[in-house]
Amino acid sequence: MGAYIVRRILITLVMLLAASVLGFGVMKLTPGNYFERLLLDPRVSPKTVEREIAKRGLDRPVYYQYGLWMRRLMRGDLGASFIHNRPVTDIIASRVLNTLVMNVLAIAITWLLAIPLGIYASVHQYRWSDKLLSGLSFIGMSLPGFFLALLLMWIFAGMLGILPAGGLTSIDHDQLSALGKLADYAAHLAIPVVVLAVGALASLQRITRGNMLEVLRQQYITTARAKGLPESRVIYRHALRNAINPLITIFGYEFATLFSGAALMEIILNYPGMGMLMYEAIQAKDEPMVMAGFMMGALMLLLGNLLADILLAVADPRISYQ
Amino acid sequence: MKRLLLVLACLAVAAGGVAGCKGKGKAGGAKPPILGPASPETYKPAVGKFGGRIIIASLGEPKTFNPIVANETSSTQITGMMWEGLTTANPWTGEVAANLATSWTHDETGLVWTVRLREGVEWSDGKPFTADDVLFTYETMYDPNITCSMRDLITGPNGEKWKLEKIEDLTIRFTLYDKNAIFPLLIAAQVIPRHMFKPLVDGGNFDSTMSTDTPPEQFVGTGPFLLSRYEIGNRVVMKRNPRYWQKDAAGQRLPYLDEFVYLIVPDLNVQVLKFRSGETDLVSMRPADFPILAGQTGTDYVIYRLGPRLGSFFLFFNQNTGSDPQGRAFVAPNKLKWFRNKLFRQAMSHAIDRQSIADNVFNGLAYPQYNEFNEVLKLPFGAPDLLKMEYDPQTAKALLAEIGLTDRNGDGALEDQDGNQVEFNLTTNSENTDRVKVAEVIRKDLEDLGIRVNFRPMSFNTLISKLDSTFDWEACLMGLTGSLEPHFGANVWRSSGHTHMWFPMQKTPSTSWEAEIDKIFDDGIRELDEQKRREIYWQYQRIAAEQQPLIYIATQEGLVAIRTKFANIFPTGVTSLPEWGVLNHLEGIYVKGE
Repeated sequence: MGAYIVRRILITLVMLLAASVLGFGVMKLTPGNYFERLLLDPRVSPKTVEREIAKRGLDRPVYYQYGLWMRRLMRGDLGASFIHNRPVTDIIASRVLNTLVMNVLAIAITWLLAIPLGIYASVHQYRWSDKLLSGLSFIGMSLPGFFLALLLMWIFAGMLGILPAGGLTSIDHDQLSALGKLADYAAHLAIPVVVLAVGALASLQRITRGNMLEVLRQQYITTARAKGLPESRVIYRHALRNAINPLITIFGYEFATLFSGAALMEIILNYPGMGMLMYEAIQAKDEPMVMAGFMMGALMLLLGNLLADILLAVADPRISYQ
Repeated sequence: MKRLLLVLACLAVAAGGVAGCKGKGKAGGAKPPILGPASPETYKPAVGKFGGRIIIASLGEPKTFNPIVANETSSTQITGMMWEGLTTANPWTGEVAANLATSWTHDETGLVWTVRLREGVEWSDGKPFTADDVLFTYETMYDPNITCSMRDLITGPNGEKWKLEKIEDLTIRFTLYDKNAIFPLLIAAQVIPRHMFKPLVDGGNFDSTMSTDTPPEQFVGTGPFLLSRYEIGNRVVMKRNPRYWQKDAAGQRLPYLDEFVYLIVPDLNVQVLKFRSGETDLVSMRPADFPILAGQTGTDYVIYRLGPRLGSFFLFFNQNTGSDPQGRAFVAPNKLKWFRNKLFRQAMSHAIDRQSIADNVFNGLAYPQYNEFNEVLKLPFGAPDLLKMEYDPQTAKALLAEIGLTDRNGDGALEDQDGNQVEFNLTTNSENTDRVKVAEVIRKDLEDLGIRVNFRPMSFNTLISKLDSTFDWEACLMGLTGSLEPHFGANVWRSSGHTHMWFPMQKTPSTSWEAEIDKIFDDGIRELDEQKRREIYWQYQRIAAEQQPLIYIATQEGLVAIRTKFANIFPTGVTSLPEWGVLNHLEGIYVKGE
């Protein structure tokens, strides 16, 4: 197992290198650069723009720019954002916690609800409760997140006025007691977390149900029931253990999204997370920022996969990586 | 499980019920009053009360708090509260008015200006404001290592600079390299404190050390508000500057408000929602939001319809005669012939139904525009009685026939002398949904004349690189923010300008009318007599009205809602940012008592 992990980490490094070449190349293929848009202001002269471009080496060949970026990265320097004139790491650091909190809460709610609901639905297949859950799942899956966010804001902030319309804290946050601060965060996090959870919940519930149904049809389940085991033991010991593998793989992917935001929803809820930051960076072609976000995403995806593979081996004794 | 679902269902019903009750409760009151802009004569601020705050939403977050580097509105609207210039512009007329300077006079050569600074102005840390600060500010703007878009406006074509000398503590002599009629306006640039910022400039990275993570105490200013805190991606809180120099009629130091809060809300729908739920005090709305906010009853806000805002929005054709390095012409020769013909452009202008665009795309909350300065605004620099290419398809048809574009084979579409079908590609940036809709209306209008328009919106970056470097486009719909001062549009109108959109960066003007406009802008900036100067600028507008290099379409109306609890509100519509049109003279705005 140890050797396997080491090997996987080495492969991860190679994959990251390949991803960086690809990402850098694709970004360079898109037209224009951040400073050219300054030209649209009649008061800025082309000379000023040229100077800004030269200052950052954007007029050099692409391989040279890539080399420069790579050399900096090796020293742990992701460069300075063009838009904000500040180190990319600082800016990401100021946002990443917001995104992490939101995603962890959303993922926790999703899993804590989806798996029991999925099991319940599979055990009560074709009963009215299963049909209701199916119906709700389809609604949840087909509702776009941004629409749900607007709808919830309209109901809870616009009509009822019990939740704030987006943001992370209220203006008087600093004057609140510790408990008040926590409640303030909770009120602001409620809508984004629910929106994120609803979409994921719906599909995860369906997948759990499908897997469970598959397993419940197996002969060893019939055997277990025939030998007189209590139903709860049949379901949780015999069926669930075998139905859980695909879910672990999904968990690996979810892990990868921990630091990546949901841009559209963050914009609507003006939640200061990574999604909004990256969306802005890509639109403006803020190259150091885009590359940092891209590399972070790639790294998390590879780590998530690794984690899932390890968890699979732990959960299922039939899987071994020798 | 069944019980849980039941509870959920009950909750949903309850939510609906409560919402229903609240809706009914509101039905009793009156709709919000709808007012127009104030006129400059009515500006008589009352003595107000101290305290309170105003909360407004901003689409973008500040990129820097450095007043020298800042170049886009989400940053400049904040630096503009902290630092002030020597002069300021009258919000209604654009006339230059005193601010940190009390007088500015020039000698008979027009090159030497003597500027007297206001006495008794203090920086927010208590240090006196003197000529040294002004000298330092211009030194910093001229520093080649610092990014500053203002520098281009105060530098001559061969790198000449202004010379500044301190005569006394509060008197400065500016020696210019050439006559400059807008000198009084240019010195409205924000002045920064030497004692705080000199070490930063000397340290060599002034650009980045004054960015958004610098501790707020370092931002020592003369303006009415100071930075209190910046919660990244969330809000900017400004607090009252207790040492601000302006006083009210009762001799009390302004501003009245304790705090000015910017919420960063990147979505316009949410901005409206936040205003409706009472989280913000002011909202600048889109035409589509107007009926919603104006239709509410029992509200605590007023709506200002401010008339056409500054800024323009136009259709233009590629008149570039050049070719790319492979020798391919930027524009196909047959099309270039049409595009460079003024009758063709006039026909296009006549073919566009601007009123229908204003009505359909902008819900009727826009004004048709025919020339750079919308005549509805009656601006001092706007030429009177300009030619207006009004909607008239018959005239358009006749003009096209005059240059040989008629339906030659009876298929309903127009062809030129060589049998080429009259068609072109039209583009705009796809992010701007209003422009995309306008382009669709134009396409239909031209189709009625028998011209085929292939509308291909593209991303902003792609469009900019086409307009700036590859030049392979045919027709484009674009906008520019406006200004009351025509010289700020010099780079648009001068044939050598990089924003001379239809044929940028020409070595020598390619037409006689472009040469004429070049001369007008050279003369205009050197004419110090206000009235004569206006007349000089009227001439280029007359040429543009006839030549139609930019076919202006429509100007949106500035629409702002603000809570009635605020007093001393004297809105102006002559701005590209309507919220600032309502908040002009921010230092005098106060919250009324119960």
